[in-house]
Amino acid sequence: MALGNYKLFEIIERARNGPFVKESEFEAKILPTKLKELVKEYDIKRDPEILIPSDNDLADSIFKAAYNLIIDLGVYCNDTGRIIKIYEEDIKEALKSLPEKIIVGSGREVREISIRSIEDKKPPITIGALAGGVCSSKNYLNILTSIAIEPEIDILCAGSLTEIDGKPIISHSPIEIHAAQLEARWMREAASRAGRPGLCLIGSSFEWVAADIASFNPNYGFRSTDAGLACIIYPMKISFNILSKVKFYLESGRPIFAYSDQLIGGFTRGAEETAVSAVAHHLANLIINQASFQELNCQHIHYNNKSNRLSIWCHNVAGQAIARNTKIITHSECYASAGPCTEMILYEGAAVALSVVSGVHLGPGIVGRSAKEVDKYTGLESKFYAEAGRAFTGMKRGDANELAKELVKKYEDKFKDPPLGKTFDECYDIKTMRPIKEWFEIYEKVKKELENLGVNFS
Amino acid sequence: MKEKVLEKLRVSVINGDIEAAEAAAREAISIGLDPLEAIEEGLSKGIREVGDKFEKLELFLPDMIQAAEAMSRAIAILEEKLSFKEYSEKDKGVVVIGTVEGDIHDIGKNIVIALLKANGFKVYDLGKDVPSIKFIEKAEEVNADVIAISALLSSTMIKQEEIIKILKDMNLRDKYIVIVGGAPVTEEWAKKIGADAYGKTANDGVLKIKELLKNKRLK
Repeated sequence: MALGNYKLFEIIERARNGPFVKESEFEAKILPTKLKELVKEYDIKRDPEILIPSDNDLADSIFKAAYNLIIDLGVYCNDTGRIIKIYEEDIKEALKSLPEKIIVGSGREVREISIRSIEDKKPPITIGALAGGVCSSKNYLNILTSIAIEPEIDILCAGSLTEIDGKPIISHSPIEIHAAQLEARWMREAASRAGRPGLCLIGSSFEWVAADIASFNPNYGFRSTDAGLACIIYPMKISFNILSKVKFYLESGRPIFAYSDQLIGGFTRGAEETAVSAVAHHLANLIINQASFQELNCQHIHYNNKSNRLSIWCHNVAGQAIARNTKIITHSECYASAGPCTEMILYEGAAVALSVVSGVHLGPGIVGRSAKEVDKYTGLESKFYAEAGRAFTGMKRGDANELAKELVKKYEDKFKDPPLGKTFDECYDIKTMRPIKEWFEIYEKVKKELENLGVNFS
Repeated sequence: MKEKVLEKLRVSVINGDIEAAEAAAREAISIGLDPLEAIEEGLSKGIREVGDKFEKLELFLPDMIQAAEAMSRAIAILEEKLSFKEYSEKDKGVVVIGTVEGDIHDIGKNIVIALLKANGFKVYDLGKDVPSIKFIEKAEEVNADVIAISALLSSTMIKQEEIIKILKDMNLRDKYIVIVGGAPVTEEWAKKIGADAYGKTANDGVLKIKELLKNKRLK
């Protein structure tokens, strides 16, 4: 057994020689059936009254179920139609190889990201939006600058360009390569404008490995101190394209930030099964993609956000399962239903930020309008997410649960018709790179109301 | 007897039990039950219940897919007993659907497929990473009513425009209803590229397909 390239090549061998299964059979039958069985076997039940559980046995049961899931199921390879078998030794080896901390960024912006424990008194690291949020080429640089200038933001995550000067981006073409290079250049420029050239960037948002490699440029783009992006494709699948990216990240010495979108109500069934799946995907990201740090990302199939009761429960129980049983560093991502310049987006962010009590760091987030509306992002909501996370640090899970219930009540009836908010150029003064008065007053009002609920922002 | 068979059809769909659905369909034929009644009063009632439960997250996507499959298989048996006229009246439409070339994301598309099947559409799933011309070739082959095109990436949504362009170049644009969807896709984009509709969510997409098809057939 070994890590690095040798592990990667071994994974590819397994992808070539594992059991052949139809993809639809794997994702719609085998995986959901196994999850259902494991949730029953480990007696994993969600109490609808609890958003942030304080039950260590529940967290451990979720971890055990996830551990068994990945051994029983393996990971499906899209390119070969075969299962990559995962053995107990793979998990043990990968968990054993984990360091206590990782280092990202450079110069004055070096950040040490270490594992957090449940109810940890150590503040979280926060990744500022955009997590794939769609942006115009006109506003891309400004939006990222508005996030980078906030000192509470430790890492900056890429958004998705929808066009370049009005011209479409064509996949697997020189234009996609150009777009990926432009994205990296603008991210670096945003960090420089903020006076933080060494800020760790996460990208590229472009999936094609050729575009990703082209965006690596120590002078104008991503550097070895910036994190590359890899994922286990939901549910429990991988492609050679992603493995090729991993190979490149290993060669270039970049930390690997891994994600796996979970869909509550989707192939992973309900909240209980999805929490198990989220932990299993973390293990898979560790073994298959050699992830340095990761994120929790459990989205509601109908609401498309992570601020609903089920998603909050999943992030917290999965976070606790990971924190209690591994040294995996993970973050809690926040997609909100509302847009910037509304109270709701901040309350949604605050409710998700409470997951710091469950052993996780924060981000990317807050990403308004579930990342789907062009330019509906500003630096202020990312700043608020980081501030809320710091303010909640050290809280007991029981107290966090009570606060989460209060916060969710403020917005959950608006999921089907949320306030859309404003675009970046409608609620920021681009000359000063500060929010307009209306948006800043909303931010101050929400902080004040949280203080009235006992939160200490100082 | 009739009520019992209708109940069997309904329950088999709710349980996603393909064997039971097929057996109930055969039983319906053996007792001389009107196939349309078997579909409307048995299978459709079941799938509507599944849809309601999915909306409340009492059931999940795999249940929905399984229920839709059970319904499709039962309909296939009942269809053999439908006259051409009845079949046309019952027919909700034929949809060719896929995720564009260069894009391997297909969960949104799969949800749409389950909902389409649940609503009685005949669906041809081309899968993911599908070359543009394949959408048109399949639509022509199966005499489709609708071409539904999914894209999850901002770098792949351009393929939706490409498919519409090819349809125009082949003088086939007016023959099909074209609907687009996916994470980066917007109403404005759909209008810009000349699609007939934008499906904001899976459910929205199915509702728009139904509406557009109804209007087209009235013309």
